[in-house]
Amino acid sequence: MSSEPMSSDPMSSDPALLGAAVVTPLTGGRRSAGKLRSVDWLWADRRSKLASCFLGLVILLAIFAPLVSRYSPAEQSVANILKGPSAKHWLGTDDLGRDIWARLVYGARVSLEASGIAVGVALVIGVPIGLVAGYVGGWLDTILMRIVDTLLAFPAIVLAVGITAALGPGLVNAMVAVGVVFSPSIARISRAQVLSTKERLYVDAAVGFGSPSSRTIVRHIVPNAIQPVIVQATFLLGLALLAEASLSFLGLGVQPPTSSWGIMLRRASQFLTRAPNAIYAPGLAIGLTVLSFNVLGDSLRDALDPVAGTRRRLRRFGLSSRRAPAKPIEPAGPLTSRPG
Amino acid sequence: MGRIILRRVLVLVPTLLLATFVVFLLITLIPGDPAITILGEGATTERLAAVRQQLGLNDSFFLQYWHWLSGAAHLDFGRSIISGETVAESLKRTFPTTLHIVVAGLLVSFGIGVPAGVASARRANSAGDQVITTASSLGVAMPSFWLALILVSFVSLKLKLLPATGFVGITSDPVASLKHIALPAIAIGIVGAAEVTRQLRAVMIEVLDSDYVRTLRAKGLPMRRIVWRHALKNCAGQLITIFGLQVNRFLGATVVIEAVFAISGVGTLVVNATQKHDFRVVQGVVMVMVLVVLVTNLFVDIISRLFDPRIR
Repeated sequence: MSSEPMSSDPMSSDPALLGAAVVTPLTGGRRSAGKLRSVDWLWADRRSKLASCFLGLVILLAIFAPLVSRYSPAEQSVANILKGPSAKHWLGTDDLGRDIWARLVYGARVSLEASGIAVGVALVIGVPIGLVAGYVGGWLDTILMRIVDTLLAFPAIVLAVGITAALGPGLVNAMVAVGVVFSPSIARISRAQVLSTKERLYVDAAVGFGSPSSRTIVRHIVPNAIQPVIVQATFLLGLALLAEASLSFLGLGVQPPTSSWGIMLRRASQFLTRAPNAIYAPGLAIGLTVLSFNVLGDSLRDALDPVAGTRRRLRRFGLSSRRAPAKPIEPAGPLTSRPG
Repeated sequence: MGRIILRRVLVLVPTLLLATFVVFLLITLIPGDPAITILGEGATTERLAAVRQQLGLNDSFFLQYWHWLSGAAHLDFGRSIISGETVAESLKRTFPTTLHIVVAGLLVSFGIGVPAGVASARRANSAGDQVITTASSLGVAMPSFWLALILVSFVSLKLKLLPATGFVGITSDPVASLKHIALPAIAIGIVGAAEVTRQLRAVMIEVLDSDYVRTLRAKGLPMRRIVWRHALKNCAGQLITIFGLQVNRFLGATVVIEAVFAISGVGTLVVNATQKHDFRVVQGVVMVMVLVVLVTNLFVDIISRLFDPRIR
């Protein structure tokens, strides 16, 4: 997947890469500096540049859906059932004569919104649990982490199906369920970050000056612990998209006539013999969007951990990375089990 | 070693108890009266009373949990409200099917993933490596049920090579069984293989960069032997961990895959039960899946300790 030009001296050919490698890893760094550097890093890599552009495009299409499609996603037309692509219907029509392009761009709204809900729920549940467990420690930490580990043993889709069984099908219910399923991984990462941050001198100093726990957490720990959580959240956005697709495919997520990429695949699968090509548009949309979230997550992680990130990039140039300090090998990709 | 195993098994007990509690809580999430949710608004008072009686809804919360737990302890999860069949019976009928798919999926996943990961790591940054890395990035992002749909539309409907639906047990007719299971296994397994490739490549590059590999090369050992006999052993821990994760993942994925191939496994069971508000079945299925994952994790833990005495 590496697409950088091969160069005899890659370090000097890429100023952003060099700059990021020299800067000390984010410890107490100011946020604005961290942000700037992350953006530089994302832009220095062609893969993440492509991924950001694609995601930007999908988001724009979703926002301006009424402007980019001539038809409404629910508009049926008996005369145009299961037609192939044409000048009027760019991607053809489905079993009810609805325009597939319209359903795709309106579906982007629903699908992105769905992953947003799920990841939002995961953050709202996971971050406080991780913060409290990491900061307070002791028996509370043991109990909370035992619960988190137990939840991690549930296959994501199965637990989400179980929760929808109780709450009833529907987009919001399904995505809240997915959010609950994703929250343990967020809790785990937040806790680990808090554990390493709370030992730092500036936290000791804040506590020494009489800063109450709540203020210490919000002002001093969260800003410095949040970045890996953002990385994980980026991966989770992709996983949530897959979960939405799976649950809607099973008929437990979005309900007709609303369009989402998952429900489009469900309809297409029911007419597979008559219109085999209808599965490609929504499937590609899901696959490419998830891929973009993954690439973005990888790049963000590299940007936030310049030492390991530089090693990974150097390796792509075929250079040895042995002089870099040894670090335990981290799993590539997110911690949560992948649905679908 | 015996003591470590014993400790691990003992740690499993509270985790399992907690899991049963989570699964039991599902029924309490139902807004309003569960009996009405199950039977619908128009149900007669007698039917409602009967269902409340059957589910023990008149008891206190903890008494309900205790009843359910003591049943679950010998895998008795109650009866389906719709068919009247015991949940244990339904599971016995459907679980082997799902197990077939998961095992076949794992075979595909590691059968493709390990050689691809090794090849990719051995020639890191070559054109071949880039092809494999690209393919695996795509594979990880692909919904497995979409791949399943593509396979059905192409292999089954167009080329008519393999059946598009149904399932045959491996013991009753091995050939037919393989034909039926090939596509579901490939659909799940390819996505898994992408994952295995990515992870193995990352670890293998690290291992091949180590001092002992250089020593082996200096000794004049052929690269093939170094990779397969020595380096792979040092990646075993990682591979076993992925194995554990994939058991969890594939159990989830079969739910959707079974829907694509119209296979009546545990996934179909739980989806149908969900649509009909058949809670005892849902609880039973979720519980059994978690049990399988937890036991797998236990074995993964023990085996990785056997492989790597450094983990203590």
